[in-house]
Amino acid sequence: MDPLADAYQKEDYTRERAGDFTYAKDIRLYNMKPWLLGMNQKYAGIRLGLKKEDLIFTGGLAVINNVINYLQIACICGFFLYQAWIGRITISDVVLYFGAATSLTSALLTASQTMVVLRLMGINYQKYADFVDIPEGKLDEGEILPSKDELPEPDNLNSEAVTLELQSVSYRFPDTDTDLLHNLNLTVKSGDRIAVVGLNGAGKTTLMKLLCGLLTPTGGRILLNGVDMSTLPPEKRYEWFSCAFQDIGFLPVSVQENICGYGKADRFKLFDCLEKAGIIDKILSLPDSVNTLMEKDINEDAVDFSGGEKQKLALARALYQDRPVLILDEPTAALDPLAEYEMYQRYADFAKDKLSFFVSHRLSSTRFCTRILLLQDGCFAEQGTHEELLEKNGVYAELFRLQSYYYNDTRDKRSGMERSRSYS
Amino acid sequence: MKIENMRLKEMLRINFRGLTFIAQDKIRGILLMLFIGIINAVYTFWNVWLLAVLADALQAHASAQTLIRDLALMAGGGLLVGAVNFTSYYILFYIGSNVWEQADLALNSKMMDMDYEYMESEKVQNQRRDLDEITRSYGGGGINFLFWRVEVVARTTTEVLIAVFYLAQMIYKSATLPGTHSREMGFMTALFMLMLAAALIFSYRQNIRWQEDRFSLENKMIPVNRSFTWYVENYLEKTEASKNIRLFKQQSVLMERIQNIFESITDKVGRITEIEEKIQLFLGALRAVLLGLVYFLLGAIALQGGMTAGNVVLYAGAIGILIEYFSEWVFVLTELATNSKYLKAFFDFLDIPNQKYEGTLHTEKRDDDRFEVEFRHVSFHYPGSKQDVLKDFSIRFRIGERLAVVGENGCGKTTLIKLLCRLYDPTEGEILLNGIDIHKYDYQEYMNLFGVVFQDFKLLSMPLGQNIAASESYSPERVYDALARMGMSDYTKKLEKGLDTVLYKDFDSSGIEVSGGEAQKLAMARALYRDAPFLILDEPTAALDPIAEYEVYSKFDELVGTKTAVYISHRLSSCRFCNDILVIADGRAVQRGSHEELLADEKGLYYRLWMAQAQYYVHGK
Repeated sequence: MDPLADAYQKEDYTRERAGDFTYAKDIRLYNMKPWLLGMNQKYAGIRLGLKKEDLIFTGGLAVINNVINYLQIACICGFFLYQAWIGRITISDVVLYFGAATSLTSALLTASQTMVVLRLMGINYQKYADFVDIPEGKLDEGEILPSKDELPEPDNLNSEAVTLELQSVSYRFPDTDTDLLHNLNLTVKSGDRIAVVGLNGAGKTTLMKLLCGLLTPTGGRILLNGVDMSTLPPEKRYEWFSCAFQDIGFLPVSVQENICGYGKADRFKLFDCLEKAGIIDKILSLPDSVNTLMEKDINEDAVDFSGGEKQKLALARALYQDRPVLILDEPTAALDPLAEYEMYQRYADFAKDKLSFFVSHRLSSTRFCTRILLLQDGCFAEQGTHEELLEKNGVYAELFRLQSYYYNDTRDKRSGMERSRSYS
Repeated sequence: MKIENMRLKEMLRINFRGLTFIAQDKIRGILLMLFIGIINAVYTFWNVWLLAVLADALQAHASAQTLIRDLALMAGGGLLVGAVNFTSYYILFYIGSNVWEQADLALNSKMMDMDYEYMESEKVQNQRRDLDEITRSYGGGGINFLFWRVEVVARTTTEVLIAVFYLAQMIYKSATLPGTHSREMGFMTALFMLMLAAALIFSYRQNIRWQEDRFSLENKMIPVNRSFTWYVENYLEKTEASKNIRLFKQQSVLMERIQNIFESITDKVGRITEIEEKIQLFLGALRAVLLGLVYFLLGAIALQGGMTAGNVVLYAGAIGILIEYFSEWVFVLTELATNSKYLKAFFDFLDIPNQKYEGTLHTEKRDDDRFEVEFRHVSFHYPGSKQDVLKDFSIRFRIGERLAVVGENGCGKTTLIKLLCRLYDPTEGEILLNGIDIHKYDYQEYMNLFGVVFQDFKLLSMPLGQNIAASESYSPERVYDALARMGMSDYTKKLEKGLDTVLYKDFDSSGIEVSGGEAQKLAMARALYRDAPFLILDEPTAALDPIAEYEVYSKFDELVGTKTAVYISHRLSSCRFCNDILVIADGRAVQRGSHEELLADEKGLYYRLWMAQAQYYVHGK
């Protein structure tokens, strides 16, 4: 990277983090101020140094430019003076021509400077143009879409039965050599409640993104009711899925608009979904109820929801969409035990008739699912119900045992300190 | 942002303060700018002088040598002045290249120093954001603006002064003109002076009005700009949002909103420009008329022998410069007047008091980590809210123990921690350290007693080693040790650059991505490195898979050692390796005891929480 731009970036980063509210606690608790300021000054210094070299160069050129300019004026002046001196033109002519000549040179100078600036802008603009020209997707290159009779229109989706099939699906990130997911085979249908478990980094979320069409497999294919999903334009793929991922995703509009979208809202359904998600009491307790604005940064009257509350709102949003496939990614991560328990109780209810996927580290969730998929080393290492997998005594059984360990009557009644001393 | 009109005295004071702020670092810059301003003004007149001298010489039928000498002097002089001028400009660009950053840094540095309570308040955050918008908008405001205007002020003031000098000279010549037409001349001169004065006064008043309009329009733009920044920087540019944008078809709403913002901005900027155009148009016309009158006047004087050709050129040039640059002079002064309001906002922010730094007691250095903290009848509500989050809370943190804190969402667990590490102060009651009110201790030393991992912890996009130590220099052995205790040795060994590996890509594009689980372990290693007597963990295993979580649990004792640990978690299994559990409900401490004791109370909250979760994990179910 260009060293000046690099220094700029680093100076910028350190300075901005210093003023970033979200870092404020850690900055104070770990006394990071000297660190941030130190690094900032370091890169500010580097930047100045590089800038100096730059300026000496451009400055030098400008001075030479100016010298030439003035010599020009001197010559023009000399020429007209001479003409006047030998009597060919008058003093007023000298004034006129001189004025014209200086205007011309200054205009030419400005013109040449502007050309340089335009050229620089052009180079910068090229970067922008290159970015905008990145193709939006494979379909830009003219793939064939299936005919209209192959998949039903969106309106009828809610009651559609779906079968989702993975045929030798593989996926690797762009610019990497190895598959993250390899040769996955799976057939699931409406009514199935699938739990997806595995260690950090196994690829659970990536798998969900493949299923709902955000990503396209690099090998194999995913069939939705027999149709290869990669032949559909992305928007059409998404229409079959309701998702609640873990990230941010609410706009500074009202709760209702965030959940129901921006057209006409079905209030009945809205309240029903809020209740199923376990957030109805909170919403009703607010003065503006469902019209409460979100995002306090922009809307002064907005309400700041906690992490757990946002998780429930994301769930309500997915439920409202009411699509044939429901994908939930760590929906109870921020919930307390009672709220988590309630969610599990309701799960069977709102997943009824749907094909649903539940990704979670909390293995308690598998009790409410019809099938468990254990993702490890890029494939479905184990599949089955909770009891089947416990019997098998494989990886799942081990994970479950570890997570249950402390919930059970740990035989060792010694205190923690005594226990640890005994290990040494 | 509401700022009342400032008095002149206050304006001068605040601008002087602004210059002092810049001057700490950039006295050279300011002096240089004054110098450049004056040189520039001289440069502006140079061509006029050149021509005047030569015209006079020609008129006087001077010899070739005289002409050549005059030409050489003037051209040579101009060349020199020009060279000095350009060089100084480039020196100035160098000096001024980080004025904006220095001002921004001062604000952010203040953010870091400020009492957390203030910093988290909406008012302060809005203030900071507004200042941000001001410095980025139309022309930039505040310190940076002031810096770059010094040269303009110096230049235009010099130009106006020189021009006025020549104007006075011209009037004098006109007044002392011998001859028959002195009354008509007097009349014409007076007329001219009147028109000039009228033009200048008009110019002045229009500028003031225009600045007021502009200021109010800019004020209206601030919330609009803030919206725009939110949409673009906080949402669209974040890769996490991209999933939801597609899945929930947010594209059209986003485009519509941003389009509205653009229209609002272009409307306001358009209005500002319209005003400017009208004034320029009128002034241009006025200038033409005045110049015409000047030539007429000068011609009349010259015909009567009161002036040489050179004089005509000189005075016409000077008046032309006066008319042109007077406007600019008034303009920059009124700009500075408006800018004073932004300067005030800037300094008001820097002047926000820090209240927590009044304690001076040193915390004792103890090797045995025997620090005891006690809450006595503590109640707390967040500033701006009337509702108490903690109510009449009394608790003693026993030394060397492991305390688990549980409760439903919103019951006050995290608030308890924030009070414990003194991010906030109680609204009632007191907190004591080894029997002494914590207000009396030196703030930073008190903070140093705690190693905390909050739920929303942040790692910086900087080298790994620095992150663990939270400082630029560190002891590699200690860092490796902390990482090893969190089971991250293998992870670190695999890194090409080892402890110099940059985390994330914000700082350096060669940085590595860090998963949620890895980040959580690194944050815990950071807390361990600190080796503080209190170790506080808020949901430390939320992002960890069962194996990683078990490792943390089973090694917890080892990790904590002789320290006092406070552990908040929704995963009640963690209560098993803590020998003390505190249950909070609705801001009050409702239960405390060991797991067995609390479980025995089947009517208690703990029992309900435990059963809700454990039922799925207990053998035989």
